[in-house]
Amino acid sequence: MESLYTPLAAFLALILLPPLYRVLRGPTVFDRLLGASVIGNKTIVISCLFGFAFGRIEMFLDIALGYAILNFVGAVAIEKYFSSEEASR
Amino acid sequence: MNILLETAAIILFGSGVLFMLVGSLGLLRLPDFFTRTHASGKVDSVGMMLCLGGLALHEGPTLSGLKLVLVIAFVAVSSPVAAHALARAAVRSGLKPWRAPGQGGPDR
Amino acid sequence: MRTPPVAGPFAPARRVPLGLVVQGLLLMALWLALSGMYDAFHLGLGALSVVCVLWLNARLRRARPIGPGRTEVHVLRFVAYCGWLLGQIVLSALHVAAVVLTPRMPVSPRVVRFRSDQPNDVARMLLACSITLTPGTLTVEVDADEFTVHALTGATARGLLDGTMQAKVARLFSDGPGRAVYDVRWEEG
Repeated sequence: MESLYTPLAAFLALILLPPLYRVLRGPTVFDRLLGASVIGNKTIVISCLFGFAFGRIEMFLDIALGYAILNFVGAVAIEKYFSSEEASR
Repeated sequence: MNILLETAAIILFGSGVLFMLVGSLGLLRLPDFFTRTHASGKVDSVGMMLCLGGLALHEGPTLSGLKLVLVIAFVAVSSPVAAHALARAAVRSGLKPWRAPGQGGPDR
Repeated sequence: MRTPPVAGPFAPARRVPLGLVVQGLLLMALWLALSGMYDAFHLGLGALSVVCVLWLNARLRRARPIGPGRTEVHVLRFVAYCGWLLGQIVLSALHVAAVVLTPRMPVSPRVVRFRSDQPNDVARMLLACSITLTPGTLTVEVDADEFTVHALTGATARGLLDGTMQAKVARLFSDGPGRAVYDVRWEEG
């Protein structure tokens, strides 16, 4: 498994591109938010992989956990804002 | 035994990566916001849980392994809530779901 | 000492201390797992945070009370339900993956409304989350007993409407569940 960390992280970074396209081009603001949250999900896994690759798993895990919580809270907060906004597209 | 665990971890992680790949493709290919929520937001979080589960198996029963399990639990609880909130916000702001042509719905 | 059944709106004065203690212990366990430092200073910080979270929870409960109905869950059934849900999630993730990977992409999204008798608000929340967590179905709106669900294909919608999940969720809280699914309406156009 040790030799797989870097290639797997690189592959995960590569499949960040479709959601990035959604964030940049998404026809509605909700598509953009969806793309952003998918990028957040993958970033959590990548950060855990980095922890294993650098041998500092406990530090990177805390970062991943904080990132997960911020991702969730941020998504819900922005959704609350846009559900009350009329011209959100 | 150790090799068995390691193999299981790699299989879990690999299938998780495949699911995340499918999630990304779905985000690119599906026709509208709601269908994209299905493919990406959830297939993606299943893939993510599989990946983190694989890493937890690899780490074994340490404090870090426990934290990985906590991250999985948090994602399992938060991802449906976030997806639901997003979909509700979209409906309330007047976004209409896409209908397949020939089903009586408006084509778009 | 068992939690007495709560009738009517959840009044703060009837909150049971035992539940609070269990909540506090769980939160403290979470703190211990996350902090990894066990000296007096960090334990004190943990206790302080637990008290703050409990206070915030109590405030939230007064502001948005949980509706009527017993909310104690059958623990064994809940564990069994989690296992079953995990299996369902994997199965339908495979289904959605197959749909996305088919070159033609046979999606036929439908919106369906149905009603389901659930014993309390917690059960409704659990059902809505379970529906959303199962790929292929997405809860769009919950209004009292009525659930609005967006389904990716007809197959996933029919899988939801056979009522297995609804009956299982209702049985987590009570032994005599009502109708699992009724009043089904497909949204046209």
